[in-house]
Amino acid sequence: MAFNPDTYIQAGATGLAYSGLAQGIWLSFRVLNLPDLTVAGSLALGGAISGILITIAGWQPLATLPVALLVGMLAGLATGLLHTKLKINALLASILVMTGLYTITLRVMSIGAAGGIRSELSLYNGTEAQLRDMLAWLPVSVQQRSAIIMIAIAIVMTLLLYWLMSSQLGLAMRATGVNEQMARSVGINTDNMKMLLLAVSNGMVAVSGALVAQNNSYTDANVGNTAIVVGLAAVILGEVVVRSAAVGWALIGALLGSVIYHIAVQIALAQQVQVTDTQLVTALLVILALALPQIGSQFQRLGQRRSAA
Amino acid sequence: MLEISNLRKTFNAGTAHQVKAISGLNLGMAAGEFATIIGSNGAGKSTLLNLIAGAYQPDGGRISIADRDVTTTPEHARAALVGRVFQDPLLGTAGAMTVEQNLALAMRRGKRRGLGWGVDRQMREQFHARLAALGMGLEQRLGTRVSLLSGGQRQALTMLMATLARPELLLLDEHTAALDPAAAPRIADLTAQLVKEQGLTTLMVTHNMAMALTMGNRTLMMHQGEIILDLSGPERAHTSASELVERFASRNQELLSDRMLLG
Repeated sequence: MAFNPDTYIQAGATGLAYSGLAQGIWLSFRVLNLPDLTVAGSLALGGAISGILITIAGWQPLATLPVALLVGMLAGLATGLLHTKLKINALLASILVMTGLYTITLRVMSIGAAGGIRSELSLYNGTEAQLRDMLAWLPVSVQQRSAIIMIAIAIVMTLLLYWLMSSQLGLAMRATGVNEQMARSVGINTDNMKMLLLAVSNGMVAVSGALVAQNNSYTDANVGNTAIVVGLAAVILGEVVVRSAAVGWALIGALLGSVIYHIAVQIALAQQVQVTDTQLVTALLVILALALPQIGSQFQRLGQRRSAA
Repeated sequence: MLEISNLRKTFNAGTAHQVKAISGLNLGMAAGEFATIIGSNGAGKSTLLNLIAGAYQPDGGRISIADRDVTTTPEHARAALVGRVFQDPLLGTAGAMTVEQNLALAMRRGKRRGLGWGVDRQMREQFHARLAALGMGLEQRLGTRVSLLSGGQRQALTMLMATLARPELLLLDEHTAALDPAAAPRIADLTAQLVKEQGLTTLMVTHNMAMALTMGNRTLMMHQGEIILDLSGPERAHTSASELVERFASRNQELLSDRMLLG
């Protein structure tokens, strides 16, 4: 198989589309310290909403993103309410909402379906169905157009998130995740902060789901099945690449991690690995990323022992 | 300033582990008063502070701070009136966040938190000045994560955070007890200085009898959820630490024998 750079550019664009998922997971796992599985449902629902608005209602792809954001935020809020007000364990609350969202996603996808329920949706309806079509005038390949659009959107989303997390509210959300007792004693309503953070996180993920659907011209109700692992893989890869816990760097790390992950999967696929094998490749990549710092420090210790002797 | 009437709190009510932590406690404090609280383990000192701060809900009674009934006000809302420093230096600060971020969080106690920058240049200058006054070199470490500071430095930072936005009431829960022998007196000095500068109404729990008499202007002794001794003015001035220990022991004995007789 001849080397085709556009394959990798396409993989990079996919990684950028998924960067919102990685950043959303970073928010819940790293900032709030909560394992939030709602994101699996938000990713699929974001894709379904965007797909239906484009194909059935004839919306511009870009205009569907705020709707996906809003719906994702409501999903996160639902988990937040179950956790903070009904005192349901966070993991369980998120699983409950994720389970419920699956039905909602199927219902949304089936709007306008001829034969009842459908669990997949093609976004291809001729022209103007994709964000990259806005750049049809650029004399570059389709893949490159996708990448340019995705870079622009990822930069805007990263900047907005950086602003939010550096604001007074952002500091309050971070304090809630680090030390709840301290947060309350400086007057932070920790329940509200948890709900807000879960809402923002799932909003990001739903936008990411919409971008992925547009990028693939296709979406599937089961797209969220591997979302947690793929998102975590990106977060951890990002932490290996960008060794800083500062918010700006962490957000850039999650973004880079997502791009690196999807390019790595593409490289694996080019080595005759079957599409069905990607789950194992993902697991191995995450293990490698987790092991790298350990292996590094082992080498360092070995070096120190050598120089001491 | 602080009015507490008939305050009651029982843990694990109705079970075999039922503990009456506070039983019908009354306390009034005037503005600017600085009271120290002593008492044996389980006397209810920390429970009282937690009830005042709103971390626990009382079973009965009323608490008002600065003429506002706060009995049912949630902890985060009550924080507008109350500054707190805990025994564990790790509890009062967010370790994974920087010195300036912690101070910025504390500065907005009692205020709305919006989308404005969490830390800006004006704040940084203010923090720099306040930290420099501590003389611990913390003003050079605004961007350092708090988890990298020593216990004494963290507790000094917590003291500053508790008083950065002037609280109506300052609650100190054995805040020098977990520090090393060099850091403890520095934090005690800092406490006296900050309380004096801002004229803060203060409640300080301590196990140190000398501190209980030398710091502040009133000493309260707690036993089994009640205040059994309330010293101030000349009477307090003429009490030595050893006398206080004696009275502590004898009052405990008396109450014990009374109870045995009544029982």
